[in-house]
Amino acid sequence: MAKTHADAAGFRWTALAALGILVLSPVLLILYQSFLTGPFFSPLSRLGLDAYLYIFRDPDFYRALGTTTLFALGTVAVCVPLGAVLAFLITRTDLSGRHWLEGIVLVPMFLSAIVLGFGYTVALGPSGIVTLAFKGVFGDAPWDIYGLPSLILISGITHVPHVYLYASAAMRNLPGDLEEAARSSGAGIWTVARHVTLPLILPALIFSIGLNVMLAFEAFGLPLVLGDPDGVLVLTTYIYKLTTILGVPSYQLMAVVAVVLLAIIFPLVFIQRRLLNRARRFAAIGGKGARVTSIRLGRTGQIVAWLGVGTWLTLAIVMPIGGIAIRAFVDAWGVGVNLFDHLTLGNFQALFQIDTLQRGIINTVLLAVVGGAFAVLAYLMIALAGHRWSGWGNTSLDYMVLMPRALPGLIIGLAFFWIFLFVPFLQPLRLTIFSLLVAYIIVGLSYGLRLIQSTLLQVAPELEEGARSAGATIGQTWRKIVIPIIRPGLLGAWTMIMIIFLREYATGVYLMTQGTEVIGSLIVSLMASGSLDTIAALALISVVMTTGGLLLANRLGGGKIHG
Amino acid sequence: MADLIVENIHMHLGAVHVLQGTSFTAKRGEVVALLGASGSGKTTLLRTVAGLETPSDGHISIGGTPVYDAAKGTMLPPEKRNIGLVFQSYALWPHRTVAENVAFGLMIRGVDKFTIAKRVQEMLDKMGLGHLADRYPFQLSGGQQQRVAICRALVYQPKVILMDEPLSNLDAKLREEARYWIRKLILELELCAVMVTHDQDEALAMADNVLLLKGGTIVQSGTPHDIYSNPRSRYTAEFLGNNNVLDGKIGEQGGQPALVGAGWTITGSTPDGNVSASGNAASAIVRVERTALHDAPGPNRIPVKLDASIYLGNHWEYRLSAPGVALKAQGAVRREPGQVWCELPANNVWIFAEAP
Amino acid sequence: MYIRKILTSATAVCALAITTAPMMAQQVPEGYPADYAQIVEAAIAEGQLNVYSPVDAEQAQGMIEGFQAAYPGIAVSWIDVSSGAVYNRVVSEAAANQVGSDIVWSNGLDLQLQLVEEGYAEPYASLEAAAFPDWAKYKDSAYLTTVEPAVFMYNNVVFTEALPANRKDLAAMLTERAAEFDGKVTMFDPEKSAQAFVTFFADAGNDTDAFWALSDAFGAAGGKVYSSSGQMREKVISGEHPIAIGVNGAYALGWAKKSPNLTVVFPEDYTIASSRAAFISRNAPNPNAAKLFLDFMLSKQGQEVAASAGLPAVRTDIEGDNFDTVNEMAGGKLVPIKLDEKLLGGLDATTRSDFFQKWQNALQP
Repeated sequence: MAKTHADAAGFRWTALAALGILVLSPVLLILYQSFLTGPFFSPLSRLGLDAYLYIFRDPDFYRALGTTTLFALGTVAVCVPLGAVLAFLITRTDLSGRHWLEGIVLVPMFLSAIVLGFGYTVALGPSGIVTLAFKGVFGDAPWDIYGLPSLILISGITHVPHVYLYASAAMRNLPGDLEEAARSSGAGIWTVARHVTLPLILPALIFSIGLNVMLAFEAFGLPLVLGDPDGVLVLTTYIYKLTTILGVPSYQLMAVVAVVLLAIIFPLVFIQRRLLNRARRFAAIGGKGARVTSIRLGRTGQIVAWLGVGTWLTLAIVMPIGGIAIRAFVDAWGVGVNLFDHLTLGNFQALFQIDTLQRGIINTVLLAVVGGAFAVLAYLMIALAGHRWSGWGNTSLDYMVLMPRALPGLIIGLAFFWIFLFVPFLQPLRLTIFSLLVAYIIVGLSYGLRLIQSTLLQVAPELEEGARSAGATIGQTWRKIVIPIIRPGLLGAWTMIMIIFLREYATGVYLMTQGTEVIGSLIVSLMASGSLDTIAALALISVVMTTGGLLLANRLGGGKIHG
Repeated sequence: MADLIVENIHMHLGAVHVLQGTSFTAKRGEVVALLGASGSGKTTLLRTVAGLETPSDGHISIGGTPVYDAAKGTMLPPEKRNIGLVFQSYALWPHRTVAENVAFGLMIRGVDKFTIAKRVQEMLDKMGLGHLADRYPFQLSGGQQQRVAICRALVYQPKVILMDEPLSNLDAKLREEARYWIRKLILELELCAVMVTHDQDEALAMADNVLLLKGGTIVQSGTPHDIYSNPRSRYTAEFLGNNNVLDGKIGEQGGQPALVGAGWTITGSTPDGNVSASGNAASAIVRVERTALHDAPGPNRIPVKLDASIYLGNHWEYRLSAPGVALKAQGAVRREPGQVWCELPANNVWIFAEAP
Repeated sequence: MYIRKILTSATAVCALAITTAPMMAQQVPEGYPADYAQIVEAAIAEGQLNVYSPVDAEQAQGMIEGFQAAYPGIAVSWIDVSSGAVYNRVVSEAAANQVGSDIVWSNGLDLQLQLVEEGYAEPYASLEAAAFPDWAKYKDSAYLTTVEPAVFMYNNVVFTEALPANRKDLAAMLTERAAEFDGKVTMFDPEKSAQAFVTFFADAGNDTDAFWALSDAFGAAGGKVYSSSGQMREKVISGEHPIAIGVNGAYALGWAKKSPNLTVVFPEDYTIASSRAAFISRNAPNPNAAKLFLDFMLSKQGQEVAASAGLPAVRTDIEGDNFDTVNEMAGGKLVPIKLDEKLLGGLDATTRSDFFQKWQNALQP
């Protein structure tokens, strides 16, 4: 069927092509690298399957693969039920303080995993502050934060916001009368939740399961800090190990593991899409007058709910952040150390004396605020390109968006380092913060795009069709109708992306250079040289900035959309 | 000359053949109603005219310009079709005031600011909305929103105005008013209007030409009077009006087709021309308002028992029954239960043989 | 760290006072040939120097300030790259003809040597080379600059006994009281840290039995490994793992001065000393500044600045910690890792995988 270009096909295909270049170039580079016997730039490298043979014969690989699978399933098993219950309590019941909770529950999502892990060791580690206090009172502390079970539990607890976010959005859209109908027929609150609410938010839950499996597969910080000392090896830490275990860095081996990760994630995405397509049919969500009435918890209900929520808040937020905050102001802690004797501001001193660290802070803010705005713009373009677009173009867009999600940030950073190094016209940009921005945009792509896509979907199709039939082209419709309507959503997305960029750490490890330092990657490199005093100070600053960002998000993202 | 020509439109959604070769025309100063149950394809048909859906075959032209032609590969986007579209939900843009909503189509057409202001104000005044120009849509009542939506679709004088269930979000009183003034406005402005509705009263009251759709095809079209009093199929007969349905076997009486039941026979006509062999199953359909009660037997009368009289304000409804028969009739007075004869006048009885 | 900071800046100020006066007209340092002035002039014309190093900028501050005081007008960019990434960057940039480094200074000694062997280093016979022993020089290209002994360190509040001061005794103690020390010992991780590998590989090469006996005992006691000395310090000082093996002594001595809870023990049987090797990159963008900086690093002044920043010097004719003073602390049993082909042995796939096989076996409790 011949189509006129008035349906913005030109724009759509251009955006798709641009996205394709940005996403596929690192992915293809990694794929190519995996089939070589040495670095792709070395004249001695030949095509061959040696790297695959090495990896597939390495017992450590299978150990890491098994552990990762267990870790991913465990994380999902912990975070999905918790996140769904939390979303139910906050959106559908009269839980006291729920408005205040709404912002707070997202906090763990915005802390870099390394910072979280570090906070947990200080608070709950074998000689952590809480552990020692507990031992002082009870004689023994019955927990051990190292090892796979604890790793799964902590990962699950800290991934709760990733479920909450989607589950709560779905629950907010549910018309209250569906639940009222069930309640009036005599069903109790939990029966309602199980038989009415749950099936209706199933698509959101399926999405969160898929998302969290992916997040768990590419998790690096937590396994590094909490699993590694105990010898718990996951695929990402296995990659990290491959960089030194053979002496000379073996990129082909790292590439093979990255390809394996892609090969695992892709079918998952496929299954997720199939399930979602099927589930959507049941999600008959009324548009008009979906008034939400809260379910009354009652006195006992409030107490029980708050016991649960309070425990989670303590474990997921108070412990790690408290740990970091304390560590930032002392130079020693643990057995036989009186924290008050070791109070110091000295940890922050380095931040004022070392250019690199100062630049790191400035760059991080710059990248988050200005870069975040560019990212929103880029995501908006891509989202519009795929907006109400059917056919294989949009399907391939969907898959491409998810590709970077399957790759660890470390690998994407490395691929972009090479791209900026070897592509002639990009070379001048390599030493600028622009190179980091591009990599960050790709790393944040699937998350950021989803934010904007969901905002776009809130615009009823008639609003766009009305403009088209009144004589506006697609471009005019987007500019004059769609974008103004979603403006509050865009501001919200901007702050969210800001926060994501603030916490990112793995991507910059290879890419950053003098003048383009960022806090997250500085923490990784300081970890290697061991300046934990400085790390603690940087981590606290990063937490403070994130909190600031969240407060901003709460103010900006609060706008309601009519229509 | 017809301002809107829709010819042989086919459309598929996946494996479903939602429009199976529908055709119709509409001209200035005329309202065409696309009437049908949900799933009949009426909204899809309207959207193909608007350019919001792409058919798989056929031809559409608006004001003499082909906007869709499968053979030539023409498919003009909505903005090039010069149409006005009114949505069921009104679809007013929440971020624009009433005046800005109405001005949009003019602005897009590059009309100068002064003229825009003048025409928008004229349009709003005409609809009695002049004082609301600076309000935002959410500050208006449903009826006001609907009028703004119509202003928005008319202000740039489109060739065709398309309305998708324009009245369904109004309450009953407002709806009856709106039927009248919208029709009046269309005739006054000499517009060519197509509206989609599932409400037969609305279609009959507003349209010059009613198209009844079923499963993606037009079952019957005609003036409201024609389609109501001369249904050519059982579907049309049953879809419109309030009906009595009698089941029996086909027969003949006095050279006329008849329906034979247990102890009764009524004569009538076979509008679909399908005269099956005697003894085949068939049904008769009679409008309730054409059904009368008598105290004595007579031609085309069925002996029935009056079970109850129900008071409906302006009239009474009688519930009648006989073995295998349930009928309704109307009257001005309450009647006591008992034996009565129900007359189904032969010229109002439509007999349809069961599909073999 | 605070005290060290003050010391560093003090040294920098002194250095400034001493050097600026005679250097005004880009005079050559004492004892250098007169034509060195041309290099100085060219370097100042270049005006820029890029150093790739896993030594973080904080530790390098003194060195940078000293150099800039000696040669004003040359901006120093200190690019903080981890030891694994140093190799990647040098090799990738060279392949892309985008060399960005002038000096590469890293503690991944084997990789540094590999880079020299693969031709990524520009040979330069430093004018200070004579003051360095043979084991600290390689083919007029790479030079060892520091002495960093691998020591034992423990938390004397949590572990109140005297820690056995040699490998075999420590191994015996850990084996005999394995249950008591379960999870209480930490060791540098050779699988993730290049410096740890180089050190342990040399350790195993020096006394195979002693090293593996200690590793086995460590594994039996359920020991935990970390990829940096700083992380080990954190764990020792908090009492999580009160005993650490293979900590970088250059850091440990500084920490012990600050925290009385920490005790540093030089293994009496022998103490392996690792180091950091520096070389000039081939096709360096600022080759003259690079020569200047390499000479400065190896000069008396440069070595003193490094020593005062907590990195003991190889040169023994200086004030501050140097090979001799460290060797004295080690009871004369200091075994420096030599910058020679033996290091490359550790990069050989079979040798390396044998080592890690043994290491994995040792770690099994």
